[in-house]
This record gives sequence, structure tokens and C-alpha cells, in this order.
Amino acid sequence: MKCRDFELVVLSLAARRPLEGDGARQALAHAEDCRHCDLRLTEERALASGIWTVVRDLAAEEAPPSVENAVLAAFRERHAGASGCIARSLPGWKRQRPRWMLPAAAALILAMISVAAILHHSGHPDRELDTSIARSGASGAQEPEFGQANSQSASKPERSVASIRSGSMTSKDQRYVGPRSTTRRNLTNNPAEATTDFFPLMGGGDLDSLESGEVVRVELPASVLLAAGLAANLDTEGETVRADVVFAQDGLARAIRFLR
Amino acid sequence: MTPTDVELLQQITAGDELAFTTVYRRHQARIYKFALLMSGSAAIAEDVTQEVFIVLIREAGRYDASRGSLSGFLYGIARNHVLRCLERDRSYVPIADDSDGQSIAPLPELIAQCDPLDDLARNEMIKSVRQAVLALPTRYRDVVVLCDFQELSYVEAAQVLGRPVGTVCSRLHRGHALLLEKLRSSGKIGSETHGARSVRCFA
Repeated sequence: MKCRDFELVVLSLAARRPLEGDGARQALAHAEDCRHCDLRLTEERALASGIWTVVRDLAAEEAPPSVENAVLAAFRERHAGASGCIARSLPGWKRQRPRWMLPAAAALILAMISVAAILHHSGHPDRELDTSIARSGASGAQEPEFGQANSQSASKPERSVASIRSGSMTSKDQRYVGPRSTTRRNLTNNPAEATTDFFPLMGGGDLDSLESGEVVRVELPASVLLAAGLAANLDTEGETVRADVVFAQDGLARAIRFLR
Repeated sequence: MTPTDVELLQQITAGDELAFTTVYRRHQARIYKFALLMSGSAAIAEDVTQEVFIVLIREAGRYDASRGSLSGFLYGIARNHVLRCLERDRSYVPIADDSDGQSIAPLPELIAQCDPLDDLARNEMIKSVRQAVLALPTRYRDVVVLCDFQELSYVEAAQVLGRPVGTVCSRLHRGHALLLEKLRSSGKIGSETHGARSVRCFA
């Protein structure tokens, strides 16, 4: 072995790392013959000894428990957060749903009612009302009472609404006295007809506080059922559904229910 | 049977806290010591250790077993953080010989009290070696710490540093030469071989 080759292995030799073949024996033999390499090996061994002293000194060193606590807290937070995302998403969605969906549905229904009312008023209200009555099976026997009232106020803006009312309901059924009494009275007069409960519409306020009102039956596109969060057959998208709308004395629609 | 690091990492990814604790306790000490030797600061070592395992929590999936051991992966993260800390807090590293050395002084309870003279010499040696290591440029310091103090093979150190094995060998030789020079000047090692030339390693 030459000095150059010895230099290549002196660190491993001093650190007592295994050398290939009999490299260690050859290197030691060379160091015995070469003073320079012998001193070099001595120096490296002294350095290795100093390093081992430090290594032994640090043997018991480790991160304090506070570090473990911190990383474990981070681990818990991360994985709790990941599962929390899923857990929180559903309640959040459920919480948000009525916040925007019901007002949207109510606005849609109101808009359709308004459009329907205008069309009825400006077009052929009597014919439309007759059709509505026929479909619902509701009686129009009391129409004259309302007709009289309506004729008196024909020039007023409420006239169209009054016309719809007169065609849709009997005088008895048109009176709305709270949601419970409305249901109990079975406004449709048709025992085969099932209805949902009344849904309060946007700005409708508390229905229980509503002393009286009038119920108007309308026909709406089936898509309003979806908008209102009710189950609907998507195949019947183009079809219509019937609904009863509760109008308060101030003329505002307060609640709606659907007929099945 | 003791689970491997790879198995534990899969469990960690699935949110197994016990697996994470096992990995932490298996590797934290060497990461802490590496950071301590590299920085000379217990505070930095704690921060680095914490940061390494937080990175592991976030990016356990980034570890590729085909590219090396988990300890090598963690050393790599630790090295990057140490260098960042040193860059940020340069004043933390006590390079000068006349520094008080408080941050690197061995804990008194760890020192045997048999022979006060031996203890004194030992403590002096520890202090000198650690100061000499901290005085090394970082490109030599990390190689010396990994190969000499952490006892990684040249190949493992090369994986941690992302350098060829030859570069690791040559840097280790150069690092040793600088360490010896420093220790000679502090009188901890004789100066008979002063001026011995370093030879490039071709391993």
C-alpha cells in the first residue's frame, strides 16, 4: 500500500469501520513503515476519540417531552381536522339549506303566483277559474258573494286576486284561521286528496299569529317542489302541481301547501 | 414483530396516532442530536425536531422507500431546517474559541465524578470538538455530523445530502482536515503531522 492509498482508508481505519478484504491489515502494515502515515493515523484516531467522547456525552440527549406533546397535538389536530371536515360538512349543508333554499323557493312561488294572477286577471279569469275548480273539485257555489265584492272593487289592484279567490274557494273554506284549523277543515272537500302541511313563505312570519286569511288554489310547475326541498319526480318536469296559498288580510302570501 | 417504518407510515397516513408515536420515539433522538450538533443550540434543536415531525405529519406520503431510509428522509428535512435557522439566526452559532460555550456545555449530571482531572480534560475535549465542528462551513459540517457523529455510511449520507458518494468522501476528508487544524490550534491534538496533505477520496 502506498501513502495515497493509505489516505483513502485512514478515516475508516481510525473510526474502526470495516474495510474491504484485508485493507485494514495492509493499511496498518503501511503505517508501521511510514512515519508520516503513522502520525496521520494517530491524529485521526485522536480526532475519532474526541468525536466518540462527544457521541457518548450526547447519548442520553433527546428532544424534551414538550416537543412530543406538540407534535402529537399537531397530529391529532390534523387528523381530527380531516375527519371534522366531513363531519362538519353535512350539518353545515343542512344548516345552510333552509337559509337560502326556502327563501328562494318562496320567492319563486310568489313570482309564479303573481304571474299567474296577472295572467288570470288580464286574460280569461273566469275560464281559468272554472278549470281550477273542476280540477280541485272545490265548489264555486259561493262565487256570487265574492263576485259582488269583486265587482265593487273592479278598478282596484286587488281585483285580480279577488277573482282568483272567488273561483277557488267556497266562502267558508276561504277563511283561514291558523294552519291547524285549515288542515282540519279540508279545504278541498275531496277526501281522496292529500295535502302537505303548510310551509311558511318568505316574510310570512309566524302562522300561528295569523288570525285569519284566505286560501287560494293555484297550479305551479312541478319544479317548485324541488325548489321547496320536496321530493319530485324529475320525469314530470313539465307537469304542474296544485297548491293552496294562504293570503293574509294584508294581501301577502304567508304559506303554501301542495296537493298530492 | 416490530413494524417497519414503511408499515408505520402507512398507518400514520390513515391517522394512527400510536404508529406516529412509535416513529417519533424511534427517530426523535437522532434528529435532535443532529440538529444540536449542527446548530450548537438546544432551542434550535427542539424547533427543528418539532418541525421535522410536523412535516412528516403533513407529507408522510412524500416519503419514497426506494430512495432511502426514513431516517435519511428525516435527516434531509432536519438539515434543511437547520440551515434555514442558521441563516436566520447566525449569531446563535458560537464560532469563536473564546465564546463561553454555555450552549454546548455537557449537562453536569451526565458527567462521571470519579476523577476531577479526567472530567476536566474530558469536558475540555468535548467543548473543543463541538466548537471545532460548529466552526466548520456547513457543507463540511453536515457531512462530519452525519458520518462521524451519527455514524451513517457514506452512501446513506450521500442520500441525505443528495450528493454523490465521492463528494461526501472528499468533504469528509476536508472536514477532518479543518477539524484537526482547529484542534491543533487549541492544543487538543499534537502538531507533528501539521501540514499533512489531504488526498481526494475515490471511493
